[in-house]
Amino acid sequence: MDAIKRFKPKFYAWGAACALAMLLAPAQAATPRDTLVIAREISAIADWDPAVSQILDTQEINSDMYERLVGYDPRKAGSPLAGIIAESWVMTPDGKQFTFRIRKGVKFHSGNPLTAEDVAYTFKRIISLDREPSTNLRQIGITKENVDNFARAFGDDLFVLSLPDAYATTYILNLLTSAYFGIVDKKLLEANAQGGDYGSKWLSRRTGQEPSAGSGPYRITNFRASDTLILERNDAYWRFKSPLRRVIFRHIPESGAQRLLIERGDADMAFNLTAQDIEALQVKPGTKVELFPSRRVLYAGFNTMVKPFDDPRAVKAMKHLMDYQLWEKTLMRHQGTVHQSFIPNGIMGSLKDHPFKYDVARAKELLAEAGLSQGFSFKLNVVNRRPEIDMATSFQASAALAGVKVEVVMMPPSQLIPMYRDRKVDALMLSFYTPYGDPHATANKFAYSPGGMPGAKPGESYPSELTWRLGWTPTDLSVKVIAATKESDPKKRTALYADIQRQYWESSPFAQTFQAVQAIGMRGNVENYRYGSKGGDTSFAFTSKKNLP
Amino acid sequence: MNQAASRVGGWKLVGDLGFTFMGLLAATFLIGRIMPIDPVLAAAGADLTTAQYARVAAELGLDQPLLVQFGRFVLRLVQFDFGQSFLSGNPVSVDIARVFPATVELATLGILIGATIGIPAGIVAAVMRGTWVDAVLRCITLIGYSMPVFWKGLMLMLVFYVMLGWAEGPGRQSIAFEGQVPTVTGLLLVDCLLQGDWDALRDAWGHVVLPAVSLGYGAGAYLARMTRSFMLEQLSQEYMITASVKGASTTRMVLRHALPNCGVQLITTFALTYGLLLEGAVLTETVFAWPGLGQYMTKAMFNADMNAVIGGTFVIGMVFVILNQLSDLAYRRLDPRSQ
Repeated sequence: MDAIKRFKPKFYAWGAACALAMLLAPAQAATPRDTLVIAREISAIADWDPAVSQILDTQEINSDMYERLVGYDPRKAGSPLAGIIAESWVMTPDGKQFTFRIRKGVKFHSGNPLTAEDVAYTFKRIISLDREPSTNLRQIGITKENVDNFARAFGDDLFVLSLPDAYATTYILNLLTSAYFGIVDKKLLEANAQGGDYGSKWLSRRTGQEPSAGSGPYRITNFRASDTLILERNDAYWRFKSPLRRVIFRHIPESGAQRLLIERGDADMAFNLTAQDIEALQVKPGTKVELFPSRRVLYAGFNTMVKPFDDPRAVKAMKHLMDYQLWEKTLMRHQGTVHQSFIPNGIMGSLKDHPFKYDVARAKELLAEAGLSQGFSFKLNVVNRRPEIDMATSFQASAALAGVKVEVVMMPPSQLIPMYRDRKVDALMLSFYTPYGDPHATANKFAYSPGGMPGAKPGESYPSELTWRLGWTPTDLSVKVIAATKESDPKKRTALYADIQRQYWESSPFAQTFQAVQAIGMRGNVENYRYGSKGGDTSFAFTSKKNLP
Repeated sequence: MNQAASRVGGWKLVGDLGFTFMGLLAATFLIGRIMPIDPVLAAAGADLTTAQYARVAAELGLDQPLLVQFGRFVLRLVQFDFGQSFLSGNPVSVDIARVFPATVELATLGILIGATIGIPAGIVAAVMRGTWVDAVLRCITLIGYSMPVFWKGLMLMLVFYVMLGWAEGPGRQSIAFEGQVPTVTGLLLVDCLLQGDWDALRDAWGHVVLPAVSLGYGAGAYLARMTRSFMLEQLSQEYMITASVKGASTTRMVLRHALPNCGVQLITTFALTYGLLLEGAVLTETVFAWPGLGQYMTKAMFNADMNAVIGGTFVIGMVFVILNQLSDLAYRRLDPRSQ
């Protein structure tokens, strides 16, 4: 009793101190109104050269630094493809030549005028640097040898792209919206070139100290890898004045920390939130979550060189053992929607059908037809992250119901990719990100096999091709995929892709499962952030923060 | 004679160190090359064609035999050139000069907090062994030792950053102070002091305090447990009975007699704990978005960015060698027998 009495004053003092401290605590913090602070895992950002980088985060940001001939307008959500640097364009009737009229008066961040020469140089760089992006140009017949003639400037105002073959206009234009084709400042890069590298080494490494080689609404003023990226508005931007003066990316790897930053108002947007954190921000006053279909499609693949997956019925049975509907509600909550077409929603030719449903009885039937009613076992390789791990274990349980024993092997992507390229996986779960908003970008990866084309050398290796990695060489489909790039009527072209996908569903060793959703946690006053499923349509150039009362 | 002996000793030390380092580097190098991770793909993308792959491999010098690669690597290393990190595109030395001071700052504060709380707590627990104080301390240290770092970090942030607003959020400094303090030492607190920028200093302190407490709690818990057991060993010795018979007070017995005799063990534990913190606490760095060595090395390892891994390993090796030498010096001071 005595002790409690003596203790009481202390208790009150402590309480008062706490209350005082709470009063002294800074009021709800808020970022400056002309500054957007983005909490995001940005450790993948390294190589800034648009003709080299295959990192999605880099491409997204590059889209706001480098402009392309054609693209989308960030001022309006879902705006159609239109000219940006190209004021207009005409095609020859045979479809083999595009003449782009270059907009006058556009200046690079350096002050150099942007001319047709820079456009031609951009094409030459991509093909000469010969990294992943160059494949896209080679597919339309541009090579190191012919690029000087086929991608050519006439004076300052005309850029002519000639093609050895006629391709669908939609295909060519969609391809040119990709971040790879961001137009670079020729004079600046030539001045910084080392040993004929087209300034790539110099452009790859950005600290913010060196001059910027783009002409877009933003430029980098400070970059420290895995730490901070600051972009400053280009006040001389010709198209519009971006509402935000500064955009700051802070490397915050952890979802919980991102959520706390948003709740406190120290960040305006968060990109890597788990389902729990998304739900917390959805109900919290002053914060919101916007969901965008992304360009990433998750898929499973089965190696047709491994028994019993050489039998399409066995693969089909596997596709019926995945509980798509349940997964959508549970482990893919806020992260994706069921999607079985290889073309993401929002891109020409995408199908909304779901031919594969969870159906153990049907799977058993198919296995019996393939003479596998005794069951079999195989290894399933997945990357060691969610939701892939959860999907694999759920699949493991349902496969067991059909007598199939699945051994789940988890590993980091950096370990799985080499195995995949070496054709050393029985089965795997992975994602594919469409590099530009055209059906060919994915059809070319999933339904086309160079080894399947008539006249292909037998036994040739194509480790860059997903179809080759699973030992699948569909001649008929490959021919159809190439034909679809040449169909100039958009309606007919859409129909061709529908046909390709239906045939693909019957025979392919791939099973597309979900189109990922990018959930972005935001402060309530953030408006007009664009996140698209085509790549080139992602932009913060017109994002703003409205005044809060 | 004596001088000659010490010169021989000096050379032996350099030889030993060189040998240790070579072993460490060779092992790291080999592990990096045997790992089933392909640096070419990590650097240049998964969908390279065969020809592109060969060219990138050549650019990275990975087309050479292992021995040649290792030889080149050692040759460069002797000139303190760790090469380039292909992930960040920077020279590894530049990267390390950026991330290591962040870790040093955090680890030093962490170990200071840990030692200030942990060592006295350990002494008290040993002296009051078996009482409720001992039980409570044991509980607290056990929690500190076993609580998941992720949870601990997030809870600290939830309470002191979001709810109370006493501390700053993740990262090393707030955006408002970005670029305000020129980098001199890389230790942000020190740089703010040198600049005399008190607002920036307060902000930097607000950022470092939570991760430091989070690390310090773990380190303190460990130090407390070790201190307790070292002290118990000393307290049960016969010289303690002698001291008590001579009429020494408890305080004198503990602080004057028992504690100095734990000195050597305590220093070893302290140095090892500090060394471990200096390696970079990956989880703490991740939760608090602290751009330190732990995050840097982990990412490099998962992508087989061997130049970065080896650069980091070299620095960590150096840290342990230096700490080892320092604790050797301290032993000689503390233990008359080793003089």
